[in-house]
Amino acid sequence: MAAANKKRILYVQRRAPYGSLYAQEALEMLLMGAAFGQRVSIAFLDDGVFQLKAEQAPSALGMKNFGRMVRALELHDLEGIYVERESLDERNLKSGQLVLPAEVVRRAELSQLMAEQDLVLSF
Amino acid sequence: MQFALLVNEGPYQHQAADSAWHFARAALAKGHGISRVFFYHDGVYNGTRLGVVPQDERHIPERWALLAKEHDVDLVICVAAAQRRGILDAAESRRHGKGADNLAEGFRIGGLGQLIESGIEADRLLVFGD
Repeated sequence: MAAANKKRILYVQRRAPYGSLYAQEALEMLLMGAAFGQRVSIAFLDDGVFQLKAEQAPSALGMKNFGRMVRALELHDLEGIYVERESLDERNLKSGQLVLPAEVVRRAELSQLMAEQDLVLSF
Repeated sequence: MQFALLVNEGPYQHQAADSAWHFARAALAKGHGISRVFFYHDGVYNGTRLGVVPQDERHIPERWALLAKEHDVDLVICVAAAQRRGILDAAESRRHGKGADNLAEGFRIGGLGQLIESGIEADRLLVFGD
């Protein structure tokens, strides 16, 4: 598909990783959808920034390590992996504590980024 | 305008399924098209045929099926989300060695590819969720 025909799709991760299935199924959707050759980005904001936190240890919960699933994003040809500055600050998280080098963007920039998409899927 | 809908919440417990259905009806009444409704997350529960609903209450799965039949809407239940939650059609049930299936008439099991396809082809993909 020619670049001009590709849709810009932004996945928005807003929830913490283990309390519900939203984050995991959203990531599964992205990873499946990435095979369709569109221009895919992902943004982590609100409690979604916890998905990126290093040193997750959910084995006692009988759940898979979400941080590892998130790292798989690096293997895909994504347009961008963004994390919102304000959401990190509000939760006292530093960009150095994340499982991958996401691009830190301000809320206003993120809103601009959303406006530029063909499709925004928020979870 | 051609719409596709994504429903991310189950019936009754959450407004999303009702809102999506009402939107679909209103859009169709105005002459727009609804090409597909894709059910993800707990939204897959919209497609169970084992729900027994009190007679004076709306029957959400049947309501979807009727809408689909009258307006040729493709109702697609995501296979991955459905298997986790125990929503199976006859073929999936056989494949996994289960003794029963429970997909409601009018719905079909499909993959995320169908959602992405809708996102690409429809004029708008609207998400109904929490």
